[in-house]
Amino acid sequence: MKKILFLLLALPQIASAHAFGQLYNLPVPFWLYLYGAAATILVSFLIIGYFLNQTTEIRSSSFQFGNLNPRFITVIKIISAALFLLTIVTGLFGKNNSFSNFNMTFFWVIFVLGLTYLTTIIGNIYHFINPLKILTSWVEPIIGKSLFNYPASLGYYPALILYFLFIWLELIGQTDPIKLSIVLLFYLFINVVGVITVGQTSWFRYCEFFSVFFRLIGKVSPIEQREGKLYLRAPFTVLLKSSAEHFSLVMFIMFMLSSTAFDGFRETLPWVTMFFWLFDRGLDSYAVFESIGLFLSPFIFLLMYLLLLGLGKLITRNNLSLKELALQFAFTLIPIALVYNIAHYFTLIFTEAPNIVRLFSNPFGLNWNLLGTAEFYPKIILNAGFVWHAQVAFILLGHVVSVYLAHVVALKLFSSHRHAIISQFPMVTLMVVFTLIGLWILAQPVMGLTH
Amino acid sequence: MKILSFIIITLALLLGLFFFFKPKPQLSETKQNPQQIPVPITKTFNLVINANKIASGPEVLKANHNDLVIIKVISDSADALHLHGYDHSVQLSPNVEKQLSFKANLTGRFEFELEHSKTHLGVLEVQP
Repeated sequence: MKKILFLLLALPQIASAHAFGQLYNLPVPFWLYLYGAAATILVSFLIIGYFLNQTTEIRSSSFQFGNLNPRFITVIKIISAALFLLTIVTGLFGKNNSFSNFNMTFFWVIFVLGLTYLTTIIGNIYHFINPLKILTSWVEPIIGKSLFNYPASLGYYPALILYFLFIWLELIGQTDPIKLSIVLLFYLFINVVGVITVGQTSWFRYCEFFSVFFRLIGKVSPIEQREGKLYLRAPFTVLLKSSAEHFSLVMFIMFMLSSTAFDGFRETLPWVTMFFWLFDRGLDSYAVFESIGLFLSPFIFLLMYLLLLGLGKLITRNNLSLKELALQFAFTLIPIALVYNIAHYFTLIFTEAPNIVRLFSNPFGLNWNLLGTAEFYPKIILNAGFVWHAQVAFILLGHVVSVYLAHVVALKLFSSHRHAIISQFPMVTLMVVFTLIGLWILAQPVMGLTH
Repeated sequence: MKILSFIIITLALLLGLFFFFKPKPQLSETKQNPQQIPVPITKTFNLVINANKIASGPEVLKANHNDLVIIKVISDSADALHLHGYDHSVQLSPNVEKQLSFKANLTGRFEFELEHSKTHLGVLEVQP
């Protein structure tokens, strides 16, 4: 332990990590962690028990409650594109300080986190306001036909690769306002090239990772938009209406799970101990170590997923291939991925997001006061006790929903009710494992001195 | 209807389980003598900083909600000690003892650093 602390001090790049978007969360206390674990197992058995002699009727009814006003859409499109450009411009020409420049708070907190949580409530609004789509909409009319037809076999792998690079940038890349703006400009350029190469429809369906991410998250929302009409439906039920059509989407969901888990896990003692074990054997770059860890993380989750699916296939002697099962059940893991994210990051919505009020008045970090709010320094730090309970409650909720969804999918896939029930034991085990991983990470003492 | 009763039973069981696990609040002295006004507990930490590192003193300062926290600092160089979250700062001049004292009214894990040299020193953990 002493040695580890000493070595941590010797490595400045560890010490300076997490300068922006710092979490004030304390680890969940041990008794609450035990409760979370016990409750997870209890609800799993309760749900299985309930469905033992019950045939579920999936009510997928939705009712229309309003229309989308096209003029409203136009307005939010303009706002979205303007904010995207403001994010780039402030980073390039403003003060290169993460706290006084508009772009870091707006991009990482308001857009990446805020929009994710908003999407769970109001649905996939990104489909309309995607600034990359808006800012590249001139491309297709000019070039006419795209250079290639999108090869279907590629699936969502381009989006997965971009998503990985994005998470790498977020967790390991240590951005500052200038770097962030350059990356966003470059990403805009990639989007232009992408639209030229495979056409707008395919690009934003398979390659632009925010589009893929928000489309998946939007499936949990109780609000749905179809042909300009707004419908209200039971939350999460759309996850049952469709399934992953390509294995790359399974990997995408695995990475949604594993990237958040990784961000928590890398602040724990086992992780740091692992680094020093490798450090003694010649690995001297912490960034390389973290990058390898991040890269391997989705495969660890995939391995657990396939193992338990395989077990389910074995005990029910099902004819569907393992790949087909992996595709069919993938969406049922989205609620767990979502609650991982919420439990880990939601406090930033309180501690960091309100700063945007000040930053709108002074976006470049100069001495401006455009809206008269330049001196607004909110300090909303939630009580750590409340945060703990909320974290465990979110994790439990996600677990319950995922177990329920997996059960309904099983009823669809397996010929007999008995087989569907039997098949659930490995699936529920998988979800218990994923949920316990989430809880365990929240309960780990954050690596003492530096992280 | 059946699903509703299932949900209610589940919630009741989860709640029961919660109170089963929740540690019993310890009988504090204030509870035994309700008339007595609780005196805030003072937690004092002494930090010596040499070459931008803590040479003596804890790296994790532990306190409880509403404790009175006093951080005494002696540094070998001029800088400022900044505590995140609370946003408290104190100017440091070489080899002069300075102190930061405040009521720990925010709970959580707050880093403190040397502001000018931007070096992370340690954390203050305030338990709820």
